[in-house]
Amino acid sequence: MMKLLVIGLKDLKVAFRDKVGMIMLAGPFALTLAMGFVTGAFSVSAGETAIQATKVAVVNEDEGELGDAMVTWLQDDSMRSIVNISVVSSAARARDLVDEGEFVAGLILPVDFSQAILSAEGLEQESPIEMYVYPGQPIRVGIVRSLIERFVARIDAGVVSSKVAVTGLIGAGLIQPQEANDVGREVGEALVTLESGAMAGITIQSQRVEEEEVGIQPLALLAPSMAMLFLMYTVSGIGGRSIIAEREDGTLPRMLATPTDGAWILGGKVIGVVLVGVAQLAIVIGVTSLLFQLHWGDMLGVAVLIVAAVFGAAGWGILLAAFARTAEQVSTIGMAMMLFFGLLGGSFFGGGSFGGTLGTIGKITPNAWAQEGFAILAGTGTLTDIRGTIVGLAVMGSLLFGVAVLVFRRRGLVRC
Amino acid sequence: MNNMIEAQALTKRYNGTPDPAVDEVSFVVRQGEIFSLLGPNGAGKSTTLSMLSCLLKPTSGDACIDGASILQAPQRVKAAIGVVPQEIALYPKLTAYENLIFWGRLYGMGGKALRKRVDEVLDMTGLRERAKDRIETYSGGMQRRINIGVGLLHQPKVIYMDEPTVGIDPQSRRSILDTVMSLNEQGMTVLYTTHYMEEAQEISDRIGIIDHGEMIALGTQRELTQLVGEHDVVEMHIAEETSRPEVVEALGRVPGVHQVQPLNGTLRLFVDDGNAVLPNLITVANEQNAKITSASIQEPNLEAVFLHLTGRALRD
Repeated sequence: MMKLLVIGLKDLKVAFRDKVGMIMLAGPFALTLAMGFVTGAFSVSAGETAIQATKVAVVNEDEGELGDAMVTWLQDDSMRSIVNISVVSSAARARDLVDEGEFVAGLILPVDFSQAILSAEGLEQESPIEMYVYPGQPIRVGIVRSLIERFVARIDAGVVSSKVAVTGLIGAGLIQPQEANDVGREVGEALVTLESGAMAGITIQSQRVEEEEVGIQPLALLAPSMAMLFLMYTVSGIGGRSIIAEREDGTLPRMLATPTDGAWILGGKVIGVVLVGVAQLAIVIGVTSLLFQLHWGDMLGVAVLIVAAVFGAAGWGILLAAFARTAEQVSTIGMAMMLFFGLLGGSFFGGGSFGGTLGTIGKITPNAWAQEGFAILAGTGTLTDIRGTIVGLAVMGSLLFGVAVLVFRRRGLVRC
Repeated sequence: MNNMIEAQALTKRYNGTPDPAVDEVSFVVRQGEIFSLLGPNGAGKSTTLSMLSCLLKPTSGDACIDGASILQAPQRVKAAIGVVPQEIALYPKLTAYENLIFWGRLYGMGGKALRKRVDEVLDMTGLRERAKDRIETYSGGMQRRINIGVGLLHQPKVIYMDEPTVGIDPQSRRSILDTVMSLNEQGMTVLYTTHYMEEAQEISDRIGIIDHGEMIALGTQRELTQLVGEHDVVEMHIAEETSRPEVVEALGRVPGVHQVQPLNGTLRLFVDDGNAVLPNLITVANEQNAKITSASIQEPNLEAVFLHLTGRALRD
C-alpha cells in the first residue's frame, strides 16, 4: 500500500516540476480567465449573470393559488436575467416546444398542485410539478430545477408556519380541532401569496439564501468546462503518457526489477494520475473561489465530484496508455481525445451539449457528467443531488481501468 | 565456492521471429566473481539479463539466483539482485537524494536506515555535495554514477550491469570500471554485459561469449585464447588491384605462417611470432608485386577468439 503512494506522490512531484506539466495544471485557470474577459463574464458584478436567460414554457393548470404565485414569481423583473417565461395553454404544447428545441424546459403545474403541496402530507411528498426538459442543456435544466426547488422549499416553510399557527389557535381555544385543516390551508396560502407578492421572488433574510437565489455566475459554468477540457489532456498527456515514457526511459523496467508487484506499480501510476488531476481541478476551484468569489456550491459535493471526475477521466488516460506504443502516440491521441470529448461533452459550449442521440453518446465523456454535476452544485444542489453523476463517473472509471489492466497484462507490461 | 547464479538452458523466443533471441544458454556465476557476457549488439545479452531479472519470462529453461528460481520465486530473486540498466533510469526532475529515497522505498527500505544508506551511496559515488541538485543538471558521467548507486542501495548479493559504459567519456568509463572492481573486492558478485572486448578482459574473472543467442564459449581469458592457439595474428591490407590468389599462396609458404584467412579485403595470417615474420611477409608481397596499404600485429585476445569462432569481428 505504501508503495502505491510512493509512486503516486513521485509522479505528482515530477508533474509540478515539469514545465509542460505546470502549463497543463495552470492552463484551465488561464483559459477560464481569458474566456471570461472575452465573453464579458467579469463585466457583471457578483450576483448578476451574463448568460442568456433560459427559456421555459409554463402550463398552469392549478386550481389553487400557488400556481399563480409561482408563475408571478418566475415572471418577476428580478428573474428576467435568469429565466424567460412563456405561459402556454396545454401540457402537450409545452412538450412540443421543448421537443422542437425552442425551450429548454416545460413546467407543468397540475390541477391539484396547491392542494398537494398544502395537504397534511405535503411536506413528505415529492413536488407534483412535471418538468419536461431538453436533454442537451443539462446545466440550464439544473438552473430551472434549482429555482423550482427553492420555491417549493419556501412553500414548505409556509406550511410549517401555518401548522404552528393552527396548533397555537387550537391550544388557545380560538378554533375547534375539526376546523384545523381549513384554517391551516387558508393561513398557508396567505403566507405564500403574501411572500411571493412582496418578494419579488425571494427577498430572503440570510446571505446564503440570497446567493442561492441569484442563479449561477457565468464563470461557474465556464470554469468547470475549461477544467474538464484540460483534465482530459492532463490524464492522458501527463498521466497516461508517463507510463509509456517510463517504459521508454527505462524507469518502468527498473521498478519492475524491484520486489514490487506489477499491479502495485500500475496502481501507483493510477494514483499519480488521479493526484495530478485533483491538483489541477483544485487549483481552478481554489483560485476562482478566492479571486472572484465564485460560488461552486456545497464543498463536500465539490470535493467528491472532483475525485469522481478525475477517476472517470483517468480511466480514459490509462486505457489510452494501455493501447499506445509510444509516448508521442499518447500525446497526439490525448490531444485529439481532449478536443473530441470537449466537443461531445459540451466543454466548448459552457457545459451545454448536443441533444438526442448525440447527447446520449456524450455521456461516454467525463466532461458531460462532471459539468452537469458542477452546475447542479453551483445552483442549490448538494452531494445527494449529484449521486447519479458520482455513480456514473465511478462506473466509467472502473470499467476503463479494468479493460486497461487486461490490456497491460496481455501485453506483458506488468507481468512480474 | 557457492554458485550465485545458475542459468539452465534459458531460451527466449518471440512470436513472429524464426530464431530464438536466446537459445538454451547455460552458465554459472560463482559467488564473489565478476562474470562478463561478451558479444556484439543484438547477441542476446540484454535479453538474458532481463530473464535473470524476472522482467522477461523464459520460453523454456530456468535460472536460480542465490538459490531462488526466477520462475518460482521472482520476488526473492528481485530482492537479491541489484540492476544497473544500460540507460540512465532515473527521474531527471528529481534530485539525486530524492531519486535514491524513491528507489530505496521500492526496495522496501525506509526511515533512518534508508537515509543512512542513501548518504553512504552518495559518499560512494562522490556526489554528496550535489545531492540536492536535480539529476537533469548532472553530467552524463555523474548520472551514470547515481544510476549505479541505485542498484547498490539495498546492498544486493549480486549486481547486474548492462553495458554501463556505452556512450560515455573515457574518464567516466575508467571510473565505472574502477567502481566495479572495487565492489568486487568488497565481495560483491557482478554479472556484467559488454561488447567492448577490452573491458571484459580487464575486469572479468570469467567470460561467456554470446552470439546470435547462443553461448559459443565460456571460461577464463586464458582458457578462451587457447581456443585459437598461441598464435599472433598479422593483419595485412593489400590494394585490391594487386590482390591475387598467387599472393595468398606465396604468403602462406613463408616460414612461421600457419594459416592465411582472407576477410573483407584483409588477409589475416596466424603466425608464431608476428614481429619476426612480418619483414619476410613484406618481402614476399613485394616479390609478388602486391601493394601493401597497411599491416598490424595482434597478440591473442578475445577479439581473435570471437573472430575465430564466428568468422566476424566483435564490432561488426
